[in-house]
Amino acid sequence: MSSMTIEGAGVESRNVTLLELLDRLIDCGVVLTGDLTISVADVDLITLGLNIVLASVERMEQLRAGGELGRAEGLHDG
Amino acid sequence: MKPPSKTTTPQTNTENAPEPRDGESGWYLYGVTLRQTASEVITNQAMDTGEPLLVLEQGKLAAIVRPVRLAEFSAEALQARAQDLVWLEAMVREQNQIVARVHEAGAVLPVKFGSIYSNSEALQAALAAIHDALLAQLQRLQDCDEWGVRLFANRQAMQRLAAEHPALQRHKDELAAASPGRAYLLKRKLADELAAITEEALSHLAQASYARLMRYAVAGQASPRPQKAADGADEREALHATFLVQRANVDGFLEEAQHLAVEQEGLRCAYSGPWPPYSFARLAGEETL
Repeated sequence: MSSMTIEGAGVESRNVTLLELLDRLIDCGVVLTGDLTISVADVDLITLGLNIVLASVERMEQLRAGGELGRAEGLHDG
Repeated sequence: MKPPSKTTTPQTNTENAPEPRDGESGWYLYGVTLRQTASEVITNQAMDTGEPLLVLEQGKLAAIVRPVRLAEFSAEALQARAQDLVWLEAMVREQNQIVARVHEAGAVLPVKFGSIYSNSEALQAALAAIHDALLAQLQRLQDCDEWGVRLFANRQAMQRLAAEHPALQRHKDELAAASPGRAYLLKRKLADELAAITEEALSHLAQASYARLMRYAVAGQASPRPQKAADGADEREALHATFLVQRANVDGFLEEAQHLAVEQEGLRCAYSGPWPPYSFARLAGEETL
C-alpha cells in the first residue's frame, strides 16, 4: 500500500536528485559575513552562473517527467 | 589550557596546520557546529577522502573547513565552471556528504554553497561577530532533521477537487436553471474559469496538508510556487514544502504524510530526508541575503 502512494529517498541514497541538492545548498544555508573571498559582489556573479545551471537542470527534469508521462498517456490514447 | 581559537586535526598540532598565508589558498567552509561535535567528526573522518577536513574553533563554536586553492574559485574560474554540471554535481554531493556527516554527530548549521575565506582570522571574526546567535540556532536545531514533502495530484484528482469547489457547484446550479442560449454562454464562462478554480482547489489542498504536517514539525516552509507541470503531464505538484522535525516525532510525521496520499484517490506523496537543516539554518533577519 505505502509503496504505491509514498516514495521516500534517504539522503544517503542516489535517489536524491541534483535539483534537490542545489535547492538546498545554493538557496539555503547560513551566510556569514566577513572577508569572504567570494565577496558580496562576486556572489552575484556566481549565483548568476549557478542560476543558469539550475534552470537547465530544472528544465531537464521537467522534460524527463513530461517525456515519461507523455509516453504513458500515449498508451492510454492508443 | 587551549587557546581560544585554533586549527586542529588528529595528526597536526596548531602550529603545523597548513594555515594558508601565501595568498593562494583559502578555507572552504562547510558548516558551523559545536566544538565537541566537530572533534567527534574529525576524529572519525575517513583517511581516504583527499584533503582532510579541519576545524577552526571560535568560542563554543567550530567551523568545519578544508583548505582550497583560491585560484580554483576565482570569479573567472567559477563563471566557467558554473556551466560544468559534472563539476557542480560533484561539488554539491561532496558538500552534502560532509554536512550530513557532521549532522549525524550533532547539530550543524550548513552554510551557503561556495563560502570561502582567504584566511582563518576573517572566518573567526565572522563567527565571533554573531557567536551567540549561531549558538542559539544550533541549540534550536538540536535533534532535528529536515524533511522535504511533495504532494502531487493527478488529472482525476484535480477534476474531483475542482468539482467539490463551491464556485463550480454554483456554476452547475446556474447552468441547470439556464435557458439554452444562456447555458451556452455559461459553459464558455465556466471553461474560462475552470483553470482558476482548479488552482484554488489545489491551493486549498496544499494549505490543509501543510497544516496537518506542521502539527508534527518544529518549523516549516512551503514553496510559494510549486513546480508547473510539463506540457502533457498527467499530474500537478500541489505542495512542495520542507519541515524541521524532531527525531522523536519523525514516525508520526511520515505516517501523516502517507495518510495525505492514501486518503484521497489520485494523490501521490514523495518525501526526502532526513536532511541536515539546510532550509532552517538561517538566522532571523538573514532571509533576504
